[in-house]
Amino acid sequence: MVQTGGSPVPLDPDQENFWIAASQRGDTRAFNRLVLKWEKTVYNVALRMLRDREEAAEATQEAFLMAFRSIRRLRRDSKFSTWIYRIVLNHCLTRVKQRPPGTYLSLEDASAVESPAPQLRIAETQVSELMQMEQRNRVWAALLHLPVDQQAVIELKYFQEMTFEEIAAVLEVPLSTIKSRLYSGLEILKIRLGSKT
Amino acid sequence: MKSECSEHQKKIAASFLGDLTNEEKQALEAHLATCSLCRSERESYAQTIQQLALAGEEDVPQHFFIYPEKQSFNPWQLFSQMQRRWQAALAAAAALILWFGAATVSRLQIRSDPSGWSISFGRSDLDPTTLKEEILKAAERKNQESRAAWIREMQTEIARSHDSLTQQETLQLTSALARVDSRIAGRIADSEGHVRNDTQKLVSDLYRAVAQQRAQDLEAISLRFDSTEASNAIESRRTNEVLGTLLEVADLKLR
Repeated sequence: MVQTGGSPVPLDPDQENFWIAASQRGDTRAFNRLVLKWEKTVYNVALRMLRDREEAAEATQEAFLMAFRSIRRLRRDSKFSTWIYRIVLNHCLTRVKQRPPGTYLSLEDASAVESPAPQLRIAETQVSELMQMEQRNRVWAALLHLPVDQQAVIELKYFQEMTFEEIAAVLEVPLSTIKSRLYSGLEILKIRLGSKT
Repeated sequence: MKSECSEHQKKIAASFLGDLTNEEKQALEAHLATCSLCRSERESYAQTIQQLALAGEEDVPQHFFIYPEKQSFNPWQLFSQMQRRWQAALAAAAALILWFGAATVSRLQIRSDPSGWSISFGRSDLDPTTLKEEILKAAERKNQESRAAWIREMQTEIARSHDSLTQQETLQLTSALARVDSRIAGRIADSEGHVRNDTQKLVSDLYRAVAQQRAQDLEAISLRFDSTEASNAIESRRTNEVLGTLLEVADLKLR
């Protein structure tokens, strides 16, 4: 399983339930505790889905706002994680589908804009770091070529370490569809990432 | 690629997805021990998964706290934020109001007849003239009843008063009334006397004042007459003197 940080450090479930209950009564401070716990995860999900830091930040903020507005509908037996993943993924999928055809966004481009010639500033002792950056960009590029539905499944399976059942619950699609998308997505990633290794 | 390998390579992907049973895992491991092609395939998947880890996670550029919103009044939002039981109660109340509104608009009539309940819509089949007559008759009947009750009450009261007075009480009452009558008559006479005296005094004062004023006026008139007479005498004397002078002048000219 991919070790990227994944889900936030699990806290006392009672504590989280307490914050959820307080948020359902309109307590923004309690909800901000949940934001603090989940914002990194949600932001990185949005970042991998949208490939644009600014848009990912915007989508994260909107996802939390949507979550706060509808938290009264979160049932006691529902998991907050499943619910927040569903909100952010659906929001990102909507954003991706609303993009004009042919729109191509990548963090590779974003990095190039932010640091036009990073290699000139990096000392030879930092070659490994540069290589790591290049490998990372390759991963981003490979993920970029996945269809958004497969990308969402890969995101939940490898980055959020969810089971098939949990993924099906988040995306609200049948288990067989989840597996099909995972196999296809993994095959594409293998072809793209395996070719230069 | 052997067809056996093709089947196992599907299992290799499944192994990285955690989608194999223990038996399938064991069968795959046994095959991998003998097949370099499939081992290579597994290595390729393993490297893919490892590289995915390089995607890493970034720190958030900012915190995504939410703040209380300045909400404009939105009845639907308010409704959606209510608890289920309040929503149900409000919906029931709204339905009831709508039902009454519709009943009013459609002139729904529900009556209980001797034969049972009847429901009808539209205009009432009551004749307004008949209804008016019925109301007037009912009002008159009510008036008559009230009047009869009042007369009965008064008669009862009179009879009770008459019966309750004894002869002595009647005499006492009569003499008391006579005393009151005489006192009132005396008072009236006194008042008349006072009024008469006061009137006489007032009239004599007035007469005196008028007589005094009259005397003053007569005296003033007399003085005026006297002065007028004196001035007339002077004027006449002067005229005579002028005429005399003119006659003398005429006489002299004639001569």
